[in-house]
Order: sequence, then structure tokens, then C-alpha cells
Amino acid sequence: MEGAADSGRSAADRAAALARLLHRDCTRLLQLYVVHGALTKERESFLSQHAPGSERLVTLALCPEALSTAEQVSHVRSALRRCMELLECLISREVEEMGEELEGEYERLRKTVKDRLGHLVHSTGALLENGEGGCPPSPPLQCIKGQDEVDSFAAKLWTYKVLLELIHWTDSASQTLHLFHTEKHGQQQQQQLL
Amino acid sequence: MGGLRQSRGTFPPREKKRPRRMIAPLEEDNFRKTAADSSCGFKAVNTLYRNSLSCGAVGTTQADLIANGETGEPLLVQNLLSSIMSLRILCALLFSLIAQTEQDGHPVPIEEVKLYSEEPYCASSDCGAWVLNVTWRDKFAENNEYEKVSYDIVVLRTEQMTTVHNETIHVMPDKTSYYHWKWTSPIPLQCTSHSVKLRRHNEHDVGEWTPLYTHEGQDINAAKTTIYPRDQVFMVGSNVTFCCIVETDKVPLSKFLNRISNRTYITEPIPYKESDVPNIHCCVEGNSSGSSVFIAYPPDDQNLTCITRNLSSVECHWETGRKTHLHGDKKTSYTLNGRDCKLDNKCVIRAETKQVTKWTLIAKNPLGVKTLTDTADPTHRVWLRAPSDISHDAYARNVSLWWHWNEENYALLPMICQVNLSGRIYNETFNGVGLSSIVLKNLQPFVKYTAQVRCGSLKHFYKWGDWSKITEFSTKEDIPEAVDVWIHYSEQNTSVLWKPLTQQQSHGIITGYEITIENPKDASRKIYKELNTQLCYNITSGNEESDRIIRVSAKNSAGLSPPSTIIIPSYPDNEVDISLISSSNGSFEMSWEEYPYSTCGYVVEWFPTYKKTQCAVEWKKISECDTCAFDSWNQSGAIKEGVRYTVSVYACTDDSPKLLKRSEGYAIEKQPGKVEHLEAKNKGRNVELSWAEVPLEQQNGFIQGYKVITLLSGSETINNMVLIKEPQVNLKLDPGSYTFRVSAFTSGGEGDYAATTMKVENSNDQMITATIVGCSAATLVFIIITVLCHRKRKWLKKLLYPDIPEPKLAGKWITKGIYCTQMTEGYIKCEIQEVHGLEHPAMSESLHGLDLISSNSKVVPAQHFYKNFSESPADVSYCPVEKLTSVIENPSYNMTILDSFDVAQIFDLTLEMQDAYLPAPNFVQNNFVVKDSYKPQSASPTNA
Repeated sequence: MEGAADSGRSAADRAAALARLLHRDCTRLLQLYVVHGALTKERESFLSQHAPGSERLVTLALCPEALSTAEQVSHVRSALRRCMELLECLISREVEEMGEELEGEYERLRKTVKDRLGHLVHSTGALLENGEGGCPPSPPLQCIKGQDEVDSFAAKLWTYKVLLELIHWTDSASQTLHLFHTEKHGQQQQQQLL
Repeated sequence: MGGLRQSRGTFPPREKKRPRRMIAPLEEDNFRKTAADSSCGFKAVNTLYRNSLSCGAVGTTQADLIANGETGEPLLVQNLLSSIMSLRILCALLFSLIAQTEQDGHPVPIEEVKLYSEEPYCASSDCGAWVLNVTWRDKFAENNEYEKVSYDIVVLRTEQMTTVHNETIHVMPDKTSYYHWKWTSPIPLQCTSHSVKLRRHNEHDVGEWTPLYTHEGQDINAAKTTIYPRDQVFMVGSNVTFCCIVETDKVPLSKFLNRISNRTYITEPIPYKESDVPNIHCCVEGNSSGSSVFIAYPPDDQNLTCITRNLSSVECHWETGRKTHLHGDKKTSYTLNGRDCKLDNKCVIRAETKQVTKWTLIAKNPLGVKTLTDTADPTHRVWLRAPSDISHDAYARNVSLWWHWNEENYALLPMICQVNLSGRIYNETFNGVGLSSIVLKNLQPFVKYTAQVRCGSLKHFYKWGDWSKITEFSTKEDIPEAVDVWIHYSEQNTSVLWKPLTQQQSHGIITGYEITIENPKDASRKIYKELNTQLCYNITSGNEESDRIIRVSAKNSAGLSPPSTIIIPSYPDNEVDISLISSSNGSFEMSWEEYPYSTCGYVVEWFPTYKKTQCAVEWKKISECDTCAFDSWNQSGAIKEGVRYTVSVYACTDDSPKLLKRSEGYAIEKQPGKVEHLEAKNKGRNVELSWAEVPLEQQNGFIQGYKVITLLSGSETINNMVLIKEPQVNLKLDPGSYTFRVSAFTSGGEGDYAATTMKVENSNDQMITATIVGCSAATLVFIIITVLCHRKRKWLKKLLYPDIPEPKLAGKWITKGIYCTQMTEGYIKCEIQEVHGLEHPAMSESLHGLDLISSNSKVVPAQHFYKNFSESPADVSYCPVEKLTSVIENPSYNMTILDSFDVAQIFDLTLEMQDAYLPAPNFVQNNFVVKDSYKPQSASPTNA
């Protein structure tokens, strides 16, 4: 039991570290996208006006306000899964638009983020004893790829928003997992004292 | 469609396009009326002129002539002109009737005017249309099919009714179809509504304007902020004007500064460079929008080349050229002979026939289309694939190679193949139908090889196919080549030497050598030796009566090499004069006369002269020279620097080698070693330096001489430097301590020096001799002087020591007195005065001039005067009397003066001398000057 607790604790710690790393990757990916899409600093300020404040791409409605830490982890995991869907859609659309031949730093980091995000979703799920808990997952998002009416500018804006979502939710995951790890660690110490 | 004319420019300069017209009075009013009706100020074409054109070109020429007022034509021409004029008038009347009919209340209107826009390629719909198409029908033109018709067209922005374009077009009538006119707008047509009106005019009149036909813009019913163009592709360097349609009463915050309608604002034209991926944002409060466009190039593909690799399909390759900067669905698409190509630089289609075929590649992107073609017979464009599964079967000097073809069609193809053997193209090609094996000959035994094969079509060779994979093989061993044998005579031994075989010569691993020594006259005395790695064999020299034959063979696993033979004569002729040779560019140059009995060339042998080690002999065989009288031998690389070599030239004969020439020398001279046994001997100031020569082994070149440097000990200052050839030198030096440095030098430079130190002194003998000689000379001179003085003693005495006359007192000769007068402040002025006799004035002046005796006066303090005379009579300054006493020293006459006397007594004292005796100068310098107390009598002949 102790060993399982240790492994659980270390898994939470590792997941939190992975979330922190992913958060940095996503931040860097957004920077590269601004350059990559020739969104100069002038445009960047304009794009920041479109940052989702109350209007997020990934929303988790119908959640009770007071959640336990485990439920918060579940909550974040649900959001990360939506983020993963958005990222896959984004990659698919960009590959369709730009072709496979481009293989720069942006494309490499984009793939890394996708891989790590998959790992984070998986490792976060492994932390939860009762599987999905807390609030119900939000419905799958419709990929923008299939929408013919979306022009390039709207697609860029959407990509920008997706990257902001990734930054937001990986940061949120980092904090939640750290809290989860701390609580688990505290509980473990209390059990040892008893 | 009828006559099409498209214009993006402004209204064309009409005067240039229309021919010079001649206005007839009949239509003048009509013309003026029509011109006045034209809102744009267009001029109508003159009807009469048009009619005259219809009636014949000759009339035009004549009309021009008349208009120019030319006269005086011949009568025939005048008649002809009048006939033409009649015809023209007739035609004019006819057409004016038609025109009158139209203007008299029966105008024929322009019908079925239609406007529609044309969108360029873009991913999404409604991305911005730039081209406005206008079509119409005109029955008037249909009824006048032989006449040109012109139309004035005006384009306006509907809302503000501002004219943005007007143009006149000229078309040929076409009964069967509509007229069609295109106009490219500077802004997308969606930005705002555009209206078009047009009117006909011909030579008769100008028609009425049609009503305005409008193409509606999106500013009428756009529900949200919208930007045009968007998602469109523009050429690099384009200037793009964007428009933003905003909600009513909203204004964009930036960039869109020019308002063209109630809801539409446009930017200034924005220039875009190659690397730009422009995004533009129409920032409106509450409802912003943006647009992205693409800046790119049209296709620039080049050099389409089609080949066949399998004789059944054709591969076409091309170069993509300049980057278009378009990706995804906007990038260049390719079709080859109507079939889509998946790759950007290659396309494969079936070879339909084996005849000349034309391949057409169409490269297309949103900015343009490029078409490339290539024409050829596919059988003349065969590029074979690489042979596969290449294998080998190697022998000592040849190898067989096999391979397979993966293409069935190659089996019947005549082909030519080439081999790359160890990095070099094998000098033979191989032909055959469906060739799949070859044999490579003349290979080296026991060598590793690599081989690749490629082939091409033999009949219509186009290019070599791909290389096969590399196959490696090793040839087997073969018997070695004959060894290179030589014989060397030293002072006591005779050696047989042979060179090791190179890898190419040994044909395997050399396991040893066999040597046989035969005596032709005595077969029983045959010696057989097996040697492993030895390359030299000493032959004991007995009292052989006949030549001996030496045979040497090398041995490997394949067998013995052919024997190499050399004959040792019973009495070797080894005596020739040894000459010296000089080096040339680091090598020897030997030349020798052709030896008539040489049958197998010459052998040049060399070995170090002073480092004799067994078998340290090298040689080189030189093939026979046919034409030249001299052969020269130049060997570099095998010769060491600074080593003296003995070089011998032998003639190779059927018998034993014949020594022709022997020389010694250095290929490259170096600095020699030190001289030895440096000694210095001195004989007084002569120093003799001697030394032993540099040892032969250390000479490193021909010693050209020695350099002797003399230094003062403890100093690096060169006192003397001598270059000599002999190993000794005599130096004459001043006394002192010296260091001598002696070094030998060759053409290669100066060697290290040997040094010795010596002190050079005058010898005792020399000193004694010098003393004796000096003393003797002094004695002799003294004696001579003595004798001379003795003989001339009287003269000398007279000259040097004359008799001194007796002193006489002569009171009247000189009168001298001291006069003292009392002065103020206790001083007394005293003056010694002398008074010459009146009979000697000249003498007195002379003495004054010499300043020996002078008259002077001195002011002396009275007390000093008295005191000095009373208390300190020894003070010269104030005791002139005593001074007088001391300076007048005459051995024969000394006047004694009392220590204390009265001044008055001195004043009375007068001396008279007969001989001259000048007092010392300091006497005159006394402060208390005494005027001549005495003077030589001889100076004055009068006195004498």
C-alpha cells in the first residue's frame, strides 16, 4: 500500500512536471506561430484582443463550484482532451493548407506538443482512481477544417485561440496536479504518523 | 461574342485613332449637335467621311487632295476626280437619308445590357471580384454589318455617382452574338455598387445614353463588418487596395481612410513584397474583421524531359524554377498530356506508341499557367535501371561478373554496358542483347577489386543507366615477377643483391627466395640456397678461374618467379678514375658515353661513400638508349641529404656488367660538422691557428674553406675575420686576450665553430732587445753631443754662458725716485718714477712698450704703508724693496739690502748693470710697481 502510495505520489509529481513542460512548449509554440504566420508584433497586439476571456473554445459547463482536488484533476483532464482534439484538428488543417513539405521548428514543436499532451492526458487518467469524475465532459468540438466558409484570416484567428487554450489549460493542469500531488503527499504523511 | 475590346486604362487619345476627317456643310449642324449632346465630350465620326471610305479608297485620297487645295492636274485626272466626287455625293446622300431616318423619331436602342462580375480563384466564395463584364445587343450594328461601330462606356460608383472609368470602344458589327466588354476594377466590386451606361456612335451621329445598369455591392446588405479582398493570391509587387464594409454610422479605426460609400471605406494601395504574408484588420468598435491574402509568383517550371525506364511507360521530369510561395491547394498543379501529376517535378504516363510522341506539361497556379513540351521517340530516350544481384567468379587475372534485370522488356533490348573497376572506368565496353554477364581480363593477381556495372541502349544511346551496387572480389595468386638482381663489389666481398618485389610484382605473398650459383665449367660446383626474407647474399671469393652465374627467383604459393641471372666475372674490372659530381636540384646528374657493347642498357649504382654497410647498395636499371650519345641519370628521392655517395655507371652486357664511370658527390650539401683539434700557438704577437679537417662522415658536402673569426675575449665584437682554404692560418695581433672561432663551410652553409682562447703578449727577448737598442742609441747620441759640445765649447759657452761683466755704479745713468703725497682719508699716493737720460729716449719708450717696466702709481692707505714697512717687511705686495732684493739674483753680484732701512735710502739707491738680465714677469705684477731698477746693458749699444 505504501509502495502504491509512493508510486501514486511520484506519478502525480511527474504529471505536474510534464504539465509544466507542456505549458512552456505551448507558450513557445504560440511565439513561433506568430512568426510563422507572419503575424508581426503589430498583429500580435491585435490578436490579443481576440484572446478568449469569457469566450473560451474549451468550456466546462455544468460543473459544481466546489470541487475536490481529484475532481479538479478530472476536470482539467477533460479540458486537455478537448485541447487534444483541437490540436489534432489544427494540425490537420495546417497540413492541408501548407502541405507536408514544411518541416521547420514550428512543425517539430507542434508534433512534440501533441505527443506530450497525449502523455499528459494518459498519465492524468492514471492518477484518478475512479476514472472520469466531477463534471461531465464537454461535447466534442467541431473541427474548423470542414467549414468551407472559413477564410484564412478566420483560420489564423482560430489557430491563435487554440494555442491560447493550450497555454491556459496546460497551466491549469500544472497547478491542479501540483495541488493534487501536495495533498496526496500530506495524506501520506498523516497516515505514516498514525 | 461580337468584337471584344477590353481596357483597364483611361480614355484613349481619340485624335490619334481617328483619321483626318473632312466635314461637309451638310452634316456640320448634325455633328455639332451630337457633340454638344455628348456629356463626356466625345466627338462623333463624320458620316460623310465614313461614306466616302465605304465607296472607295481612291476617293479618300482625292478628297484629301482637294481639301489641301491642290490644282493644275491634267484634264484626264480632273475628269476622273469629278466622276469620283459625283459618286461620293451620291453615297453621302444615301447614308444621310438612313441617318435622318434614325434621328427622325426612330432610334434603334442598345438592348439586353447585362452586367456580371467575375471572381478569381480563391478557396472561399465571395473573396472579391475585380472584373466587371458588360454584354449588350445592338440592332443598328446588326443592320450595318460592314460598318465599324463605336461605343462610349462609362462606369460610375453608384452611390456617389462618381465616374471611375470611361472608354470608347470600336467594334465590327456582328449579327450573331452579343457585344462583350470587360473592365477590371481597382477595388473589389463587392466593396460598393457600380453602374454602367453606354451609347453608340457612328459616323452619322451619337446615340442616346442607355439607362444606368448597376452591379450591386455588398455594402447594401452586408450584416457584419466585411473586408475585400480576402484569401486571394496576388503577384509579388502588387499594390492591393482593401475595402472594409462597416455597419451604418460606424467608422474603421485605422488604415481604411477613404470613404467611397455610406458604409464602405478603402485603404490606399498597399505594396507587397515577396516574403509578405499580409493580414489586414478592419478594426471597428464592436465588430472587427480581418483578411489574409497571399503574395506569390506564377509557375516558373522549366526543362521538361521525358524518358523511359522500362520501355513501357514514360517518366517526365522538369525543374520547378522559382519558388511560388504557395502551398496546399494553392500550390502549382501539373497535368501531363491531360493527366494529373501527383509530384511536383516528375510525372509518369504510359508510353502509348513507339513513335515520336509529344508530351505537354501544364503547370498552373492561381497566378498563371506555364506550358512545357517535349517531343521524342521513347525508344530514343531509354534510361536503363541498375543491374541487380551482381555476382562474380574471380581468377588470378580475370573475373566473370553476372547480374539480373528486373525489367522484362530489357531482355530483348540491345544494350551496351560499362564497368567501374575500383574507381576507374574499365577501358572496354560490352555489347549484347539483354546483356547479363561479362568477363574482365588483364587483372592483377592477388588484388582486391570493386566493380559496378551500368548499361545503356545500344541502338539509340541516350544516357547511361544507374550503376549497380558494388561487388567486391579478390583475384587469386600467380607466380611472382622476376626479381631485379644486381652485384656489388666491395673491397673484400662480392654481394648479390635483389630488390623486394612490390605488391603488384609479387602476385601473392612472397614466402622466400631461391639463389643458385653455377660455374659453367664445373657443373658439380653448383650452390643452391633458399632464403626467407634476405635480399642480399655474400659470395665468398675464391680463386675462381671462370665466371660464375647467379640465378635468383622469388617464391609464393603459386610458384617460383622466372629466374633473374647475373654473371660474376672471375677478374672483375673495377678500376676507373673517380670524379666528383655536383648536385643539381637535389639530385645527381650523371652522363656517360654510350657503350657500344651494351646489350641491355645501363645500370647506375650508388651507395654512401663513407658509411659502408653490407647490402646498402641501390641501383637502377636504365633501358638502352638508341639515339643519344649520352645518357643522363637523375635520381631524386632515394638520395639522402648531406651524404656522400659513390655513383657508378655500368653497361649491361651479355657478359658481366662493365664499369664505365664512377663519381662521388653529394646530391644536396648540408652544413658541415665541427673542425677538430683546433690549436693556437703564438710567437709574440703572431698567432698560428691550426686544426684538423672535419671528419669525412661529418663533412656533409665538399668543404669549400674555413672561416676564422677573432674576437676579443669577453666580447662578441669581431676583431678579425679570415676565410681560407687550408686548415691553418697565421694571425698577427696586438697584445690582449682573444677567442678564435673556426668553422668549415660548404655550399650547404657554415657548420658549427670550434673555439679556443689565447692571450697575446710582447715577448721578453723583444723587450730586452728594445731596451738595449734604446740605451745604445741614447748613449751614442750622448757621446756625439758631448763630443760636439766639447769641440764647440767655446762657442757654446759664449752662446749659453757668456762672461758676466763686472757691475759698475753709474749714478747718472738712471735716476729713480719714489714720490709720495698725502691724500684724504689717510691714504698716501706713492709713485716710482724713473728718469732716463736725455741721451736714451728711444730706449725708454721701448721698455714702456714691452710693459716690463712701467710707471705706475698706487694709492696705498697710509697706515698700511707705514705698517708694512715697519711690521711686515716680508709682504711682497707692500714691500717692493724686499722683492727687488729677491729677484735680482746674480751669482756674481748680489746686492745685499738690509732688512730694515729707510725709505729715503732706497730712493737714493741706483744700480747700474752692464749685462742684461730680465726679471721675472711677476715682478712687474707687484702691486707696488717698480720701474726699471736695472736693465741689461747690452740692450743699449750706447751703454756698452
